Amino acid sequence: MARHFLAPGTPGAILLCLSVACSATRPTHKDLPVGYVLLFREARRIAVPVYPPESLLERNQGLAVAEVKFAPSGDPVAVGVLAAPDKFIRKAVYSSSMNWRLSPITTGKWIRKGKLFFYFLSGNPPHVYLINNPEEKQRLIALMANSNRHTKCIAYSLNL
Amino acid sequence: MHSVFSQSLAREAAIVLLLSVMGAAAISPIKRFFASSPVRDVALGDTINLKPNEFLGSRFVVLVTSSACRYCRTNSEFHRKLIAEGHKRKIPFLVLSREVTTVPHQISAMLGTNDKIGVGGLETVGIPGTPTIVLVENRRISGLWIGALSEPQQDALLSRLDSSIHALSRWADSYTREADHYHEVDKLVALTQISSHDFSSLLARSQLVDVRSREAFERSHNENAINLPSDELGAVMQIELRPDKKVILDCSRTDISVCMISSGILSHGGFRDVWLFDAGAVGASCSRSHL
Repeated sequence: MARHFLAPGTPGAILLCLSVACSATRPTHKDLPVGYVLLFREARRIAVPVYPPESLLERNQGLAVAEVKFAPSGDPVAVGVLAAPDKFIRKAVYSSSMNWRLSPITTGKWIRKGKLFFYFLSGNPPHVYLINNPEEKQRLIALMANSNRHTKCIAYSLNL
Repeated sequence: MHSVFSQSLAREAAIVLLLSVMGAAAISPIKRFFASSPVRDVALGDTINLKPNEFLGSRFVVLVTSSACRYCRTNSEFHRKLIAEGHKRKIPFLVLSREVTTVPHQISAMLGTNDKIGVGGLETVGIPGTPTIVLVENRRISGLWIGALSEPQQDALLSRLDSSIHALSRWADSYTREADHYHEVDKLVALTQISSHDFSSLLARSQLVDVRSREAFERSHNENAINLPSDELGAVMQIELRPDKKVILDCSRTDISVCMISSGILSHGGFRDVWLFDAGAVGASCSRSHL
């Protein structure tokens, strides 16, 4: 019985299983951080969330941030919503982020990781701005500056 | 024969499976050990890792120096002054050095101090180099100055010996592309001291920004602070902050270098009135590994 327990193939099997264990614990993909504008430029499919009616009713607005990891094929593999004004916006941001696609990479097994920024503005009409898009970001900045100026004008007129 | 062969094969398969599981279980902690073996450098807000007998009360200063380090020698005059000012305010000092044989008399001769002098500790405390000055309040690091300090930085440090006084430092307005490396700490152009009361009224007129991660911000933050993590600052600063208002970066709980980079990002984004609150400082130092 003891003869059979240490069969001739056992040392080889030990080496084989150790190498299998080593390769199983070694990470095969590495994270590659991608800047927010580059993420927009690399995108093949962009999805912007719809303003949830519940949030509009409450006049909830503000910044929502999602961190997305993309497989080498360009498909999202993980989405985490880091910040959102409320739970409805959080859900909407999650769903839309899952619909993003990047152009695939052929060299290296990189997991591209980046952040998507959405600004929910409950004006008239309400709009969701994608800050990763430089043009939309500039439009939002101009809008914010104008609204600040408008607020200042009202303040001055009240003082008068 | 066939049944013996199949029994032996099944036994080998069981051994292979068992060893695979054991191998994976054994390798995983080894990987974790190697990943976590380097000591993390200290940062503001951390609890300082000292032995119980090295704590000198609720508020004290740790001065990490080395007689072999030229930056320590060039700053030794200031260190003497610091110790003298500390003694006037009854603040005890713990002097740490790495040299085992030369420490007590050489360091005390260099600094002219009879304060408690310890040996070693750079790795365990997580000090990246010398000279380093750490202000400890209730076991937490509330001030951290690494390396040789310029005169304004020395003034900021001295002002922190009075707990009610805060330091606000400011960067050069003309933050040019040629000089946008964050180790350009000499660009600190103005520094002002402000009492707690004045700081509160200043905060009411300013935007206090905390550039740490959301998790760190959730753990503790100034009640007036807005959290804009440093890696998101470039994307959202012009949307979340008003350029016509003063911006104060709360550097009292974060790594100084993160605060300095954030200040540079804000300057590039058109924010001209940016101040660093209780920044501490980073200057040229003798690295821990070369001592």
